[in-house]
Amino acid sequence: MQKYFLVTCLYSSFMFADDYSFDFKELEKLDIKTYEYNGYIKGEHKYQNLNKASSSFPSKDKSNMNSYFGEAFFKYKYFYDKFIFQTELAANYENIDSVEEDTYTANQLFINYKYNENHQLNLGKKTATWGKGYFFNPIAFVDRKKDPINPETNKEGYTQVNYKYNKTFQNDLQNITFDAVYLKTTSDFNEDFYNQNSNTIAFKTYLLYKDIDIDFAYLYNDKLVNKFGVDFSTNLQTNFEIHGEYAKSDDGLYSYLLGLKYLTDFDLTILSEYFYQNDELSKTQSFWDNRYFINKFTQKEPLDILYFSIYYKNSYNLDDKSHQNNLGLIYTKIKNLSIDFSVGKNYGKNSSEFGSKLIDKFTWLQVKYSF
Amino acid sequence: MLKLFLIICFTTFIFADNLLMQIDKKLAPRSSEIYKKLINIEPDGTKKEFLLYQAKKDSDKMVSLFLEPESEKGRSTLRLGENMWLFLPEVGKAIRVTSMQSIVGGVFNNSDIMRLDFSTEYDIVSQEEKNDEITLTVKAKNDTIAYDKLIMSVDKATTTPKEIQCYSSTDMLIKTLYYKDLKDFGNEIVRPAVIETSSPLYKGYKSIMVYGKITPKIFSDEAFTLDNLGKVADLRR
Repeated sequence: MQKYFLVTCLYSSFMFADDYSFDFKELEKLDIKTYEYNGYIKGEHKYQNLNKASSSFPSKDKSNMNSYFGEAFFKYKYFYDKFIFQTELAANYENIDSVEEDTYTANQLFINYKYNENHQLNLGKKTATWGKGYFFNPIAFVDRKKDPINPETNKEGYTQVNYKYNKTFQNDLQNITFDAVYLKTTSDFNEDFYNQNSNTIAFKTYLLYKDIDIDFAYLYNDKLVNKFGVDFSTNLQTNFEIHGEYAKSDDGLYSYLLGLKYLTDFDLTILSEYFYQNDELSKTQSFWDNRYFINKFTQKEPLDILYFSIYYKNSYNLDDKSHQNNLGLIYTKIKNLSIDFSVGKNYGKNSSEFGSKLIDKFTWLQVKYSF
Repeated sequence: MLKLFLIICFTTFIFADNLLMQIDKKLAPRSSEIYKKLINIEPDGTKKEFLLYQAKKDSDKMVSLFLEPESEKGRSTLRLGENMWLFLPEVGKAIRVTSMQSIVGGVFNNSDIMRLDFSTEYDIVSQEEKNDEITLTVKAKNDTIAYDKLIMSVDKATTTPKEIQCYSSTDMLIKTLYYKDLKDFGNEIVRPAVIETSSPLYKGYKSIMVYGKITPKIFSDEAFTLDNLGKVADLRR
């Protein structure tokens, strides 16, 4: 008994001492260097059951297929005086039903010059990430289109000149940030941006006014239509956020979204977005129809399991009543490793957007290691 | 007589407010940078650690940056009053988050990790002195603050907290914070280096915040803006 008590005491003391340790060598190794880097490697496997009713099915003519994806992502920053050189490089491999392809992309490659706290200049390939929506961004005039299925994937930027002005105030208007972007488009320069051989100037003004984020955006192109947009985001309560975006172009096309994020007292996050566009896109594109409603429910640490969350996502086409469903879990207990596993199924009539997809249902596993 | 009563009330009010401000002043300089570690401990003893850099200015501006582990590196949060945003480096974009969320998991939520000055968020309701301790009951200034009521045990000699009980608006105890290990950080900063927390909502789990370095440093107001949230690492330079 005495021995047991002694062992318990020793173990407790050890735990106690260890819990509170802060090795200053850890801070020393974080010495500020002239460069910074980080990145990740991730691998994915999809097992997909095919939809016999899909028009693409005859090309496969089998009940299922396997797909594999790999990505190596590297971000590097080099600091010199008032200049920062920044790049993000991605190498991607895909094997979709034994058809292989690999791509190498510089998502960003630019130089930042900070004249002072108020004035900055960026020159090079850069992502702008305009807009407040999570799944859709109608006002992201100078970004590549977001994929609502994978909204958090890295996006490739466009080569541009960007001037930025940032100023804070001590009144209801707490902050104003002004962005001016110039993009040149030719047949081999920003060629997929807008149209060949054109010049674009885009502006965005951000205001933090009475605790509300507000953006006004405008795009002028010397050959094609001009665009105007506005967005907002604010917290109605500490656990309840609302946001919205509206964009309109000179030719009468417009789109908007309204969204909310709500956190319950049992740690369920509800993220909902309604999206409308008055123009139907080409059916080869995803989310081509007029009206969509996407909901994602994420329960953090169910059953008190730390670093574990489960989620359910429903992407609903309100026009043809078809939808895609994902039920998944994320586990991040192991240091620098994230595991995401989900199952998904498309529902809808054979002629509908999600009902006509080649994939009927799938299981998906992603393992990501960060360095 | 009425005059005397008013003077006593006024003096108590001023003293009470000053006490919260004194506590704030003891815990961190008005403008400073902080390195701290968060440790989540599970019931089976397994631990996960996070290393953070924080910059603070005035009573209501703060940014945090994750330095470790690698999977969280570059994630940063900005707090301006009750507004809070999270920047995800992979998305390259800031989104609004709530103060009750926890970006690291465990017992500490965002408002614990990015706590503003007590005097910014709370008013003293009652104050009681006993031996070497002062017990303060403080009430949130508005309903956007994470905890509606705090009961603080303050060490009279050092004017630093020893224990804080955090309550919801329904008077439910959400968690208790224990301030431990008084340490001299230099620059006349003497404060508890360790904050340990437990919660009836997370039975068996424990989270610990350990301060490694606190240094006074002047930052521009623009450092605490949405546009600079992706560049918090630059503040270390």
